[in-house]
Amino acid sequence: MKKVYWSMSLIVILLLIFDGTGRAVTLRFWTGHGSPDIDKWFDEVLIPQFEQAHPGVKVERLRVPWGELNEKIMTAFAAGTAPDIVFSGTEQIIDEAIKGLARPLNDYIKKWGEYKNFIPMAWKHETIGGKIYRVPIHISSRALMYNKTIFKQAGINPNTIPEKWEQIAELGKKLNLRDDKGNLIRLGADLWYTHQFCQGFYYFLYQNKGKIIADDFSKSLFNSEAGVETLQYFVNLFNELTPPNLPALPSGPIPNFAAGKIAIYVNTPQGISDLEKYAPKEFEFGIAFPFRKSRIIQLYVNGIYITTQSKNPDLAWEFIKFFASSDNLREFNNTYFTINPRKFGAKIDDPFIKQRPLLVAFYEQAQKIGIPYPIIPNYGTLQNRILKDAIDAALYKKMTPKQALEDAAKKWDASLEELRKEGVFEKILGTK
Amino acid sequence: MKSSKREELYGYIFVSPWLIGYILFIVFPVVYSFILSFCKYTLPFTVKFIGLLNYKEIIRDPFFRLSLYNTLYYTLFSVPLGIATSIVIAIILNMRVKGVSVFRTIYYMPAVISGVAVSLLWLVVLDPSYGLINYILSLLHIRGPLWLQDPKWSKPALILMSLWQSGGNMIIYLAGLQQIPEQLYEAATIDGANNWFKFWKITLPLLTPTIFLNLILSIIGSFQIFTQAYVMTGGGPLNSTLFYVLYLYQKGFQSFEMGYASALAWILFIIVLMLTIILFRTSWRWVYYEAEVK
Repeated sequence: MKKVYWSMSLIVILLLIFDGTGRAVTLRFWTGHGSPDIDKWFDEVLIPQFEQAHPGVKVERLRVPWGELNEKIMTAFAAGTAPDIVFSGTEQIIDEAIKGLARPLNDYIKKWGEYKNFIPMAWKHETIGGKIYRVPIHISSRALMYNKTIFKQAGINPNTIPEKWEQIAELGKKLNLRDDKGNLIRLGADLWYTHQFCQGFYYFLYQNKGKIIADDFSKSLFNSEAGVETLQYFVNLFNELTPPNLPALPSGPIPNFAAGKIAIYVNTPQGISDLEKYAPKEFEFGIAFPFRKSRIIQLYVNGIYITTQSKNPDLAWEFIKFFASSDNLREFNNTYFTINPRKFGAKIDDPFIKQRPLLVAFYEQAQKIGIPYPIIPNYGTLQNRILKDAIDAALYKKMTPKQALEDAAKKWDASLEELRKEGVFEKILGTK
Repeated sequence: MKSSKREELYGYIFVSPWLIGYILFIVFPVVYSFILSFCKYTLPFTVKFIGLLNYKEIIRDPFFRLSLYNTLYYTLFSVPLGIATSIVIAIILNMRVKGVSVFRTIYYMPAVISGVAVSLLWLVVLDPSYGLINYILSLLHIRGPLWLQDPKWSKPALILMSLWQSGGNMIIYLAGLQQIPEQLYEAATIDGANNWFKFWKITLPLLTPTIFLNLILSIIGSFQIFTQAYVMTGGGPLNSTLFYVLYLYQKGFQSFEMGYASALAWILFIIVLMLTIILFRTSWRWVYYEAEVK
């Protein structure tokens, strides 16, 4: 019995000693962004350097699968166990503001003095009702990539790709290749991923001089003439350009593009990284930024925020400042093959980017014609359920584009009105 | 303390880890979800009591009806076809032939592979251009459907996939078949019965308790279909694979309407409970127990 008593006493004393003295402050950092290279950079470069510069501070990073980030954050908030810092996606900013997950950073940013060194478009996306909720970390966008070898084989000049989407679609049809049995063995053009119809629709809608939602979130605007025309165009693409036996491409289009099974497809700058890694050395591809009525490209701004449940907001801000420093952002974006939201002047002098003309093109276009991705409140329901269903209904010809969009607009407006009545917009915009 | 009391106390102490786990992780969530079903609880906001409003909204919700229809469609085809397939395989594998245990293992294997892995595998099998099924059909000069990309074929595709996983039920039927006394077949053979007659009059009636068990389990399982739709289709195309539990999940963890999702869960529980009661109440008409006199 004595032995048990002494052992227990010793354990209690040891626990008291290690709990009371020299315990590190832990910053919990969750990120939905990552890749093997980025994970390595976080764990071997960014976090150790920050910890070295801040003795007694430990950063605990958790990479959350992209599709589960929202779910995990919401449930953590409900349980009162949210992390200190979250690095989230372009669509999430509005939920972070409405649901009170993100702490406004205006005061911190004012003292920081780096505001002017970022692209204004990036800040515009991270600001709602005058409050800045996130610091932009990286930007992505979409461009058209095409296989120059296939173009040459088909007798098409690979350096003069048409500028308009309609012409690209026509070209895509010509580049479809079938075997003797009529099976499609090469897809001429895959102009949008099948699971990203909403993003594709927004892209074309804004290029068609349309808008998705009013700036004060009072009503939907996508059922305009521009919207109906856009969806009709989208339906035509889906039903004419996409042959009935289109490959499902479960592995995504990159392996098929690299293997010459797709001649033209739309992808992000990260696609350049994948092609550098996986495509054969002789693989030659070009990049273009086609348009419809308006020459713009949409920018997907991804940012980092301090949660309202963080017990160490000042320290969390130190981490964000460190991460968003000029050197670290350059290293992060070059590793991730994304666009650095910091201004890069008239000429890009970063050797990593300069070596890659296609990446240079992304940077230049983002600065010249980039507009932020639209912000949609309650996007889980409005976008991912109502609008997606409307687009699906038009694509599968259950409804005309006009009917589908009008039906969806009614549902959006009813839902927005409900949010307005709940005082959601008043809270974030200061308007009724 | 009396020794019997002390023994009782020890008993409780020994079962307490399980008991505490059961109360915390089963009883409490079930009771809490029942309470939440009467509340508006949109994460991460506070809970507000709204009475029966969630249930009233569900009745008007077209996605509730659609997801229920999709689930019933899936159940209606996958359960009987699954039972028939399992029985046929079990009968074949009940034959005394060399190497039968190898085949039993092969047929059982799909049942032990995780749902996500199976779903990823079948994404490739069902690929309209490169998939195995359409390749086999092309050898017969048949142009295969678009499967998961076609709203008309997406549910049949998932039903087909479920049949591939009949190995789990097959093992139970195999055990049921081995319970049937050999002398019944011997007596029937002496009386001149052919194989079909023996199957119809001996095997099937004596297998009905096993069929009944599997029927209940399969119906419960098919009402809970989730992984395949979540991984392979996300409910599409055109919501043709939006099954009940997937819709419940979307409401709970994508729209974060926990109160609404809880009400959906309780409606599902009531539907499955009613079906199970109906099956139990009607089982006396077709389930035969060996010792039973009718």
